[in-house]
Amino acid sequence: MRKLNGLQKQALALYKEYIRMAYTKPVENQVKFRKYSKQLFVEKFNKVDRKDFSTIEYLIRFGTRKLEALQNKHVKDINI
Amino acid sequence: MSVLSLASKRITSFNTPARVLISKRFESVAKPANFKTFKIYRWNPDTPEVKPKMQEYKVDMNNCGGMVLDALIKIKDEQDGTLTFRRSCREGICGSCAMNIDGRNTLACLCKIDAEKANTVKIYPLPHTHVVKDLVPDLTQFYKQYKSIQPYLQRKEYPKDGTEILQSVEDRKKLDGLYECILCACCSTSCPSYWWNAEEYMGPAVLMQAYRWMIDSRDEAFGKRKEMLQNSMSVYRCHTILNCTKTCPKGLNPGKAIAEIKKFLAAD
Repeated sequence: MRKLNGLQKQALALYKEYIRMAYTKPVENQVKFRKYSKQLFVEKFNKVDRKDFSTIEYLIRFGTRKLEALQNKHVKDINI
Repeated sequence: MSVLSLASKRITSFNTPARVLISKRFESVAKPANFKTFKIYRWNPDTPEVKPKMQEYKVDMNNCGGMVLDALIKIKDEQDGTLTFRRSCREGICGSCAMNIDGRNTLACLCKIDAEKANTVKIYPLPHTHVVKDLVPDLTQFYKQYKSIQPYLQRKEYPKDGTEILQSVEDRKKLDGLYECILCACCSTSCPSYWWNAEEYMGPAVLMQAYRWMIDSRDEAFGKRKEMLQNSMSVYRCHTILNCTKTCPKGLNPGKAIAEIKKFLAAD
């Protein structure tokens, strides 16, 4: 496997944070949160070219902001 | 000429027939078109892989208001509904329409379209901010910092009868030139120090508000406020570049306020 660059590591770390966030949610909804995270990363983020740094940086910022909103403990459920 | 004839002249001019008035009203339409080009920064977050670009719009200045904001609204109305920018009061009191016009951070509603100068006006979002869309900057960090200086009155006791806290005329005068700040972020985003250290350096707008609360005679948290700023980053990243004072669309002087804070801190 190719060695990951810094930005790729950041993106993976962000994905991990999303999965961790999913585990803090009520048990019956965790699957939905995980599915949502996967969808977000696969559909939106995976399309970008590996070397398109400015776009990846934007998406990481965007993803972080979204994560912050989802991490709020009052968020209990999500609809995909 | 007698007084009487002068008066009668005035009356005749007053009684201009309606037809003449109408023709005067539409005179501007008959004038040759006076086009001005606006080059505007465009970027759409829905397609992040498409790079930002400058888009040109031509506006006839004969039927457009005098300010840049008028032209922007006209473009949005008539040419391109997808153009995105913040605006609200259109009289320089809300601070929504802060943007970079011809290389200067200012409020679009207070910036005249220069008739003599070059035929194109370049409009960018505030420099060194993350762009939300087109001309809309992300000011989250700016507002976070503003919140961190606790911009509200702090004191232990309030008048028992629930009336206002009184202040002498001299004490009130100290706040002039400080309280007028509308937090448009023009100054902060024009500061090179703030560009490189936005995480830790407070920026001129926030520091000016910090100073405003420090010298308020009704506030009792002076010591605490001073302690919050007493480090190498919050204030001392200001190297008196004074871009803030130069660019402020309200004509305020954040540079001086920061200098005063430095005096407080140095006296410690």
